[in-house]
Amino acid sequence: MSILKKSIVASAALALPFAVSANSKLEKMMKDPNQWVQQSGDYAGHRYSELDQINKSNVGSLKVAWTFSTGVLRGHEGGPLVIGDTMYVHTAIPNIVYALDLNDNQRIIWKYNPVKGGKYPGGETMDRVISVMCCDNVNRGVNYHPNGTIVLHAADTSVIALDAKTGKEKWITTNLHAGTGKYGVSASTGSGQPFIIKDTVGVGCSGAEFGVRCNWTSYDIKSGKRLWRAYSMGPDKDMLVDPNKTTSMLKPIGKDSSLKTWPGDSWKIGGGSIWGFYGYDSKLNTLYYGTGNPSTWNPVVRPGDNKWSMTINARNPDNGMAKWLYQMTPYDEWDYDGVNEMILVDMKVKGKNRQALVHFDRNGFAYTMDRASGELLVAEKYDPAVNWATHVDMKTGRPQVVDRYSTAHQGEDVNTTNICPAALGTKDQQPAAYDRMSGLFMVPTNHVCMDYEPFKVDYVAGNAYVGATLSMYPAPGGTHLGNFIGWDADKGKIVWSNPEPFSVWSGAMATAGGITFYGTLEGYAKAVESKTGKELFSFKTPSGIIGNFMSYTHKGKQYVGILSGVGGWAGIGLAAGLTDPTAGLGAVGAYSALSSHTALGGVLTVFALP
Amino acid sequence: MRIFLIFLLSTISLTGMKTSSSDFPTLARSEFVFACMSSNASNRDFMAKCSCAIDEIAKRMTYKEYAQAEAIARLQYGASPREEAYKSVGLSKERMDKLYSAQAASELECF
Repeated sequence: MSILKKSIVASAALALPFAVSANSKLEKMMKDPNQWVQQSGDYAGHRYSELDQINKSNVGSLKVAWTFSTGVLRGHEGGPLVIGDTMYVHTAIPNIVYALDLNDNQRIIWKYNPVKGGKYPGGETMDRVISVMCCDNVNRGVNYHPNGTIVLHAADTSVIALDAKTGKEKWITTNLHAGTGKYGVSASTGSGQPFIIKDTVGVGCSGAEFGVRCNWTSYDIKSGKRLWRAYSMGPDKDMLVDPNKTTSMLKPIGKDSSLKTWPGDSWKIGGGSIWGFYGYDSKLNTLYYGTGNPSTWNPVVRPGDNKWSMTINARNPDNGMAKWLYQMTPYDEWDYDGVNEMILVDMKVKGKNRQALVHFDRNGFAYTMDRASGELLVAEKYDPAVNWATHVDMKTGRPQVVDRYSTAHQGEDVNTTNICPAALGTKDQQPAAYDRMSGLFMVPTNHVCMDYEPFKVDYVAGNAYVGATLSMYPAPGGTHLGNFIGWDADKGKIVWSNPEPFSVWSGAMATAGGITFYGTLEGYAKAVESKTGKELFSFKTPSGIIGNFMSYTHKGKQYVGILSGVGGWAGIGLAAGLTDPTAGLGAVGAYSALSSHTALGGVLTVFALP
Repeated sequence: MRIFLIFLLSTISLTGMKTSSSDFPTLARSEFVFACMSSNASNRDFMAKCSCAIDEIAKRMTYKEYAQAEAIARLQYGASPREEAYKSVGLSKERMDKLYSAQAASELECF
């Protein structure tokens, strides 16, 4: 199958030669707590800052140091980077990137907007991209390469390399065309971070609701030239697997491991999107990412395990070859995407030192694996409400599904009720943090259940291919929709749990100050004691928080930053409804009136001690 | 002119008395008044009406409940699974119902 691909190499900017390999240089920068050079803080995805100026004894007096309005409404996921004295902030669609001068009152050094004349670089209009974009127009942030490049993965799947100093385009290539309706690549969108390894940048894709066949694609950081592409499903050569060497549950996967698990050629629109937060181990030279749900949401039309959707992938980043695969939810019946972050921790598991990978899956199980071999070590529920499976069989690695909650067993046009978790998962993309001090994982979670009714849909390229009706509500026995928990990944147990009225949809960050930060959908930025979960600080930001916390120093002082921004500006909806109920949310006239008064949109709030 | 000033002062002091009994931060009230004026009319008349409205709402729900309703209203923009979960059930319905009835009452009182 040939993929229509168009490369546009803009302004042939010269990459400066550098002596040290980019990989070791970037890793060295990640170890410097004064900067925040990667979305997750480091390759291991710890989201841990070694800074301790702000700590459990003084965090209560934290104050807003400065704020920055992005001018863009809707969902602001991900977070800013700090490289030296420059901060890089991104926005939801249209995916603007700002470089701010921390030495000069956050003056905007440059601003880059990939949408020109209403169109993204790949040629799609912004409106068309929005129409096929799931989830509040989000983007999970830019990343940095030490040759002086900021990379943006825009919503139309364009990968854009910018000169970190000037914001000028070095190269642009459109990975997969959004909305062109080409078989197999229709309606792909980009929301996940571009992931820098050595002199490459890799991107996944979003759009499993639109019958895409997703993949991971690696590009050369200097030229934007495509190096390799590994599909989530299909023939072995498309997936870059070796039937004899690639393993799953420590055994070779064998020939046609994916094709055998899909009826006919339905793998061609099989989904398996990749848009979470990824991990990389430079010693093992292995990239880790998870794949999402198989299309459609109606399981009745795709009997089989639907490999390798819902799978943790361990791959060689040089050529893409898979080392091991582990499918968490074979034959998904609930939309439990396996895309969540991969946290790499060297720790004791059941008394033995392990190079572990810890993954909190949407399906409600927290997995601890040996990241070198792919051996499954621990799989336990991290919300007691989880009921769709009783447990994971440690020999086969398969979840033991309860018929009562199986939407396939109940059948098409039957409403299967009280399934926990809901399609949102016990956790979605909001990344957990690893507290190196206590050894606990700080996990933002959802506590939501659902009714799920699959129905038959025909695939029309470029259109939504969902095939299920859902309704969601708080888990039984309570009214709260989220928890923020401390998790022991060795024992597979919750150590402490703080109920939250809403899902906790922000990324956590733990620090050497003994504290962990997270945000809530009401907009509260909170700090808790990492060991106990005790709340020490709370501040209401202007909008809901779905971004990820980060920390850095400037002129020797520690700062903590967080983006807030969800949906629209609620104030207008609450107020506008007063005189005219139809003029509520999204009242265009009201917005234009407001924009002349203030820069609306996502807000970056930066905290410091007084 | 003098009569108007006296009227204005008495309105302010009355408003001041009302607010002291609830936990709404001034910032939340200001934001409501700002949004309310923007979507109605930016004049003195609506500043009074909108201020009255938020004070009436603040009498009928706690700030915590209001902040939750605000979050739900914000989420109702989107159409993804995340937003779906907050549309019509459980806590969402309760909070929004409370807000709507507070809004209705404030409309009767102030507009």
